[in-house]
Amino acid sequence: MDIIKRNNVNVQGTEDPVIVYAHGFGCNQNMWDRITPAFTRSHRQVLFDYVGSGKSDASFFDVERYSQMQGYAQDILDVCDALDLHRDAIFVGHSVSCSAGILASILRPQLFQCMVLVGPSPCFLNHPPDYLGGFEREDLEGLLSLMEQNYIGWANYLAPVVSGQGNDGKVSTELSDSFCSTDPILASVFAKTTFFSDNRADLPFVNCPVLILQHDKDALVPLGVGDYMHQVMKKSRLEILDVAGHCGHMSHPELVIKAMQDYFYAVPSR
Amino acid sequence: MEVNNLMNQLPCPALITDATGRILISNTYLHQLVGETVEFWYQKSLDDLCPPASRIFLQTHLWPILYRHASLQEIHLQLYDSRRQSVPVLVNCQKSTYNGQEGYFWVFFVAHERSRFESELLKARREAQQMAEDLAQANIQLSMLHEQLSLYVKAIETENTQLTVLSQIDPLTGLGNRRALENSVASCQQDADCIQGASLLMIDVDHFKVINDEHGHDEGDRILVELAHQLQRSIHEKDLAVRYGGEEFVIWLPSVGRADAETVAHNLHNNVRQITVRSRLIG
Repeated sequence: MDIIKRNNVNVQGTEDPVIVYAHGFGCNQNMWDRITPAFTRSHRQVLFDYVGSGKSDASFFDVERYSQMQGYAQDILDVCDALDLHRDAIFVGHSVSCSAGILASILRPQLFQCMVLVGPSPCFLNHPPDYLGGFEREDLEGLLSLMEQNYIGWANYLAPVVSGQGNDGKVSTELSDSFCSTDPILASVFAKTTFFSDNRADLPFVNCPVLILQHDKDALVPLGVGDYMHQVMKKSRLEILDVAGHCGHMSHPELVIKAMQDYFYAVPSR
Repeated sequence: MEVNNLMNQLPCPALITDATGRILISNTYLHQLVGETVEFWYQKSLDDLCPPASRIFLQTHLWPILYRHASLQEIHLQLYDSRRQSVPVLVNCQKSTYNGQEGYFWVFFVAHERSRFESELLKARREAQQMAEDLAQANIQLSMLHEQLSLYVKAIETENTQLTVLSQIDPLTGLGNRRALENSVASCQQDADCIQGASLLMIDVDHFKVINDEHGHDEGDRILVELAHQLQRSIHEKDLAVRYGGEEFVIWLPSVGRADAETVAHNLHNNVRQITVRSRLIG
C-alpha cells in the first residue's frame, strides 16, 4: 500500500528535526499553510491528510477503523513509518488530532521528542461534575444534521460560488477537495469519532514533553480543559494564547509560531 | 452613525465581526431576530448567537474557509432567536475592511421554509438510499435463488435424460427396446436420405420355449443375452439392435439398402451359429 499517496503526504525542507503536522476535523493539511513557512529553513516538515479528508485516497476509508481514535493514530504511525521516522520527531496537532497524536506517542514512546497541541481536547462531551468538555450528546447530533444539510450544497453549488470565479476549475477544485470531496458519510464518521471519543484516561501515559496551546476564548474547548490536561500530563507546559476561536494557527499564526519557537528552544530533554 | 444607518437599511439581518468573530456592529433586522440592541452585542462573540452545533460548525468549517478563501455563501446555520429558540438561517460572509481593520461582513436569511423543504429532501434521499440498498439486497437474494433454481433444473434435466435412456433399454440384454426402435424409425422418417434406403431385419428365436423348459429360465436368459451380444457385434454403430418382444429381435439399419442388408443377415447367421446351449452348438 502506498501510504504517501493514500494520505497525500507532503514533505517540505531537508533539515532535521522533523515536524509532523496533523490537521483537525473539518479541514485538511492546508490549514498549516500559515505556520510552515516559519520553519522551512530549520526543519523538515511533514504534512498529510487523514484518510477520508482532503486529497487522501478515500477508497481506503474503513468505517470500523476510523470510528475509533486509534484509526487516526494509526494513520500518523503509517505516515511516520512510510518516511522511515522512528524517533525524535516533533508532533504538531490541532484539536482532535492532539488525541490521535497522544495515542500515537503512547504506542511508540520514542517516536516524538515533544508534542505541540493546538486547541486540544481529550473529550468534547460534558462529564459532570469532574469534567466539562463543553458539549452534550444532542449538540453533536445537531452538528451531524447541519453537516449533512451543507454537504448537499457543497457538492452542487457552494464550491464554484465560494471561489467567486465561476468556472475557474483550480480554485473550485481546491475548495471542494478540502471540504466536499469528503463524502458526508466519511465526514460524519470523523465527526462522531471526534466528538464522542473520550481519551482522558490516556493522558497520564504520555511520556514526552508536551506544549499545550490553549485559546483564551475557544468556542469548542472551555479553559478548564487546558488546566485538566496540564495537571494530568506530567511533562506538559500550558500556554494560553490570546485568541478567540478554535483555529489560532490560522487566525493568529504569529502567536502559534512564536510559542512553538520558544518551546523548541527551551524544550527539556525527556 | 452613518454606518449604523447604512447597516439598518440593509433588508436583512447583518453584522460585522473582526477576524475572531467579535461583533463590531449589528443592524436592527438582526436585533428583531435575535433580540437586544447594537450596544448589547458590541464586542460579544458570534458564537454567542449560535446554538452549540452551529458553534462547532462555525469553528471547524466556516472560519477555516474564511481564513483561506475570504468568503463563503449559502451556508446553513442556526441562530438563537430572542427566546433562545433555534432559527435556521442561510449565511453569506465576505472579508473586507471596516474602520481601517480587517472586517468580516455577515448577512443572514431566515430559511424556515427552505430548511424544512431541504430536511424533507434529505429525508427522502435517505429513504431512497435505504430503498436502493434494500432493493440491491433483494436482488442478491433473488440471484442466489435463481442460481439454486438453475442447478435444480440442471439436475432434473440430467435425471430426465438418464430416465429417457433407461426407458429405451431392455434391462436383460442391454439392447434397445421397442420404444428405442420407434424413436429411431421416427427420426429416420424425418431424414430424406435415410428413409430411401433403410432396412429392417426381424429375428425370431425358434423353439425358445423348449430351451426354457428343458434347461431352465436362467439358461434361457443367458441365451438371450448371448444372442444380443452376437447381434450387437454384427452391426455398425449407427445401426440399432432391439429386443422387440420375448424372443423377437429387430435389427434396424438406417441408410442400408437391400444388398447390404443381406450381407448383414449372413454375418448375423454366422455369428449366432456359435451360440451353444449346454455346450452344444444350436446351429
